[in-house]
Amino acid sequence: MSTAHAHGGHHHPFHAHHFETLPQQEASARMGMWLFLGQELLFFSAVFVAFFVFQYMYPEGFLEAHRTLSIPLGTLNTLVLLTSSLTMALAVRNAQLGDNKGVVKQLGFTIALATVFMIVKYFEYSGKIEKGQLPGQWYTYEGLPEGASIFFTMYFVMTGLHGLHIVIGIGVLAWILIRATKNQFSAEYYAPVENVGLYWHLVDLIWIFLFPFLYLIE
Amino acid sequence: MSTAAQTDTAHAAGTNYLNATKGLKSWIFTLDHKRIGIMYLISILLFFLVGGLLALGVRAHLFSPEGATGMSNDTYNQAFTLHGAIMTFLFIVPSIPASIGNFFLPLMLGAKDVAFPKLNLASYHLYFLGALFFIATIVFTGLDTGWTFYAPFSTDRAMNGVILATSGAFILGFSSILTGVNFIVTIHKLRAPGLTWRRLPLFVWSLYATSIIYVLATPVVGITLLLLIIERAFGVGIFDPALGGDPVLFQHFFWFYSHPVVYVMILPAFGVISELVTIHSRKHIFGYNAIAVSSIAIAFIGFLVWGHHMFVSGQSGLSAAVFSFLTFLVAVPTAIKVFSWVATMYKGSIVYNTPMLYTFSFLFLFSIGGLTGLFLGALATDVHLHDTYFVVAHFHYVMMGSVFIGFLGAIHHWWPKMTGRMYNETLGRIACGLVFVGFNVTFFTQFVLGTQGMPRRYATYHEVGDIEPQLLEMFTLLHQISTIGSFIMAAGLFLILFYLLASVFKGDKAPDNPWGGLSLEWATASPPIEHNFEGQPVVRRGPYEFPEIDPMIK
Amino acid sequence: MSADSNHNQGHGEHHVMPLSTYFAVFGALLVLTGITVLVSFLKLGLLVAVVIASIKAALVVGYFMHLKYDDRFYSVILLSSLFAIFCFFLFVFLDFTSRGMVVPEEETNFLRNERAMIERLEQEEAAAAAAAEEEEEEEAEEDTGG
Ligand SMILES: [Cu+2]
Repeated sequence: MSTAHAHGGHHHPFHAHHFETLPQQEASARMGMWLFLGQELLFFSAVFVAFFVFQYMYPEGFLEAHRTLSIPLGTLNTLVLLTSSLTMALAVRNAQLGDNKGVVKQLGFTIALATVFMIVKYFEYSGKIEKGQLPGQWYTYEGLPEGASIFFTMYFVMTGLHGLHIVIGIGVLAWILIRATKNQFSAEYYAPVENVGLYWHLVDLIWIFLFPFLYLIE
Repeated sequence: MSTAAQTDTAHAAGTNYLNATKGLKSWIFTLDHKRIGIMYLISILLFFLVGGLLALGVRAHLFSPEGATGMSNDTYNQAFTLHGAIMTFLFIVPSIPASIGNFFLPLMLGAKDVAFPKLNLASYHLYFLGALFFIATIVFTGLDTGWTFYAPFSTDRAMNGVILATSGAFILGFSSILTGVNFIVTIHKLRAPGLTWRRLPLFVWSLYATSIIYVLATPVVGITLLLLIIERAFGVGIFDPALGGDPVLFQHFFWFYSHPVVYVMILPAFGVISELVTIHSRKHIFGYNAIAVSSIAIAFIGFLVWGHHMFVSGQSGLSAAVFSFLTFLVAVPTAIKVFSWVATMYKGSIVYNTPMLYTFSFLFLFSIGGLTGLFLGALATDVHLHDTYFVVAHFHYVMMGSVFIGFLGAIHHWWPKMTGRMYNETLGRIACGLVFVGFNVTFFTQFVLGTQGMPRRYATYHEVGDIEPQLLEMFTLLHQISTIGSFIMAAGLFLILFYLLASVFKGDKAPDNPWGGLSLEWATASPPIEHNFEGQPVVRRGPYEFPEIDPMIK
Repeated sequence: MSADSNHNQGHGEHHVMPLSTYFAVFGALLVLTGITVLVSFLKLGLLVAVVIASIKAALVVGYFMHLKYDDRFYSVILLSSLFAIFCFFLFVFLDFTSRGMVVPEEETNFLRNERAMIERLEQEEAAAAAAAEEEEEEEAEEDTGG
């Protein structure tokens, strides 16, 4: 760290040496996160393309198979996730205001709701496993037209990838929560909260599309 | 430059990024973009060596129609598959951006580092991890799908290496994505004062376009390979028609990534040539805006044309025709670049040194590679040339003749800056000549082979169809010429390895600015100090406004 | 630093939205979720669901993710990925929905028809073999008969 900073003077503990100013560092972090989200969108777009291709190939099978999904459970999970998005947004707002206690509280709600989502998912999955509504060779359910097993393949791939994102999300939310209990965020330094928030909203966004495509569309 | 006086003092003190800290650990866990760039350079060249030796094995085998080396057909399949997979995923995709780009992007921007140094190190570690998967594939299982992993062959019939190799490629994809994110943010946020967008060196523009593709295309191959792994591991039907899947879908997914990624390979080479051609011609670049914008245009057009790899896959005739038409759009921005480079040299005072010889080689080889691409982009001719040696020759002209030659040009151009040493110029020119001649002897013959109907990927060719004795004689002769060419090329490449290594130990000390370049990397010491610049450099003019240019030809 | 502004391109200070905005957006999201579930029973199909989901997504992105008040470049990133996704869907579905429309399918669909082709070839071969056998038999009969 031999190079002298042009500004000198006051230094924030989380200000990295290669950034001139803290706002520049915060903006860079956010831009990096947005690029990462762009990447995530492309990542999920591929499974959506595959889903629609198979729906086009097996319209009958997909229609009948999708009717076996529980709309009440799907709707419940949608509401849970939307609410978690609200609490996450409020956590970021508290961080903007430098209110670490508020951040902890809202992140606590968010993690709790994410856990509820996974529990509901667990019940959905175990129902499917019991009935043999499973991908490919494990498909044992009877009475559905050709293509139903592919529907369940796509169902498990899509919700599984999404669920994996939720689990990772719970991890990073917990990390941020711990940092907030140490009062590390302030009005001038809160990019980690905001970035985790952006990630969490993306997970919500994916579900906003998954829900109607898997559960609702006839 | 305002910092010149200060860097000379640092030079005298003798501390630079190479000797600032010592020990293996200080390299493996370094956050310095320069050291990460060097580690990438060494790893990438190491895998080029592995992939190259496999290629020599393939070429040697084809020396006689029945196979000259006694490899079994299965071994041959593995050799060309691993050659392709290693060269694509471990060498050419990261090649210029990860090594030269990592080293020079912050230097060219006048920054102390990339925006996210830890992420940069993570990219390298991911690269290393992905490479371990490929090494495991070679050692333990083998792989015979071809580098494209086409389903349904890869989902059930192929050798066991598929899961290992695709997991490796998946991890390498993450490495690319993180590098792309890092570069874009760095270019946006860490430019020195006065370094406006229109004063950026063109190499930076090309890295920017490359990063767009890294970020937007790589995730799709990630999910494709993930689906392939799921299908193969659990016997679930996604791509295998026997299980209700669709193999053409795999090809769509695969080429949605793999077409744009050929621009990941070529765009940085374009950027390198833009730098080399103007600095070694001592001439203002012709059409700065056109070259910069065409890089971005290529990045986006790249998403419209992937179906030209699938003309005989069974996609619909209509969409094949649309893809064929759109493919010709790519020719426009690439031609703009080539014309601009040629116009840059016009009336310049060209120095015929090693980097410039590579520039000439590039222009020649890329023109051939690009023009033969039109044959393959045209639906009617492609149906006949598909899966012949014509395709092999075409993409080697573009991938090796252009990207790798550009890479060599970049290494020679920036070697003094990276190592602080000059290489032997005479040997440099001889080696460039050997590589150029060897390359053309190897691959031009393959255009002829392809048009005569020699299919690619055959281990032996004495019973290709109902081959006539005359044609077999011709195939044999052409294959033999090609094989001899590949060994000439290899001789040239080993010569380069030799004199570059020798220069590290015995080379003359390099001046800070051996070529008289004006972009910021030449404004610091050779090799650069740990934090790149003493103080914050300030930019007051464009990167190619050489003071000695005759105003009449500017 | 002051000579050039590119180190501080972002919108500088952060925009803190009033709490009421958050709850209004959340309310709208709930209402839209209700509509999309109810509408699904009317079987209005894909388009309505996509439109509603897109409105919901826009609300989340615009307000919860602050895109409306942030650096314009973030919108460019989002639009670029949407462009790529659009191309992805467009060309994959161009292929799958136009099979056999301009060129007959058996002339392009090498892979899918491979099995059918092999079967046809085998039948033809079998037929040819049968015909040859018959001929041979006939010849043999003729030989013995003659
Ligand atoms: Cu292509």
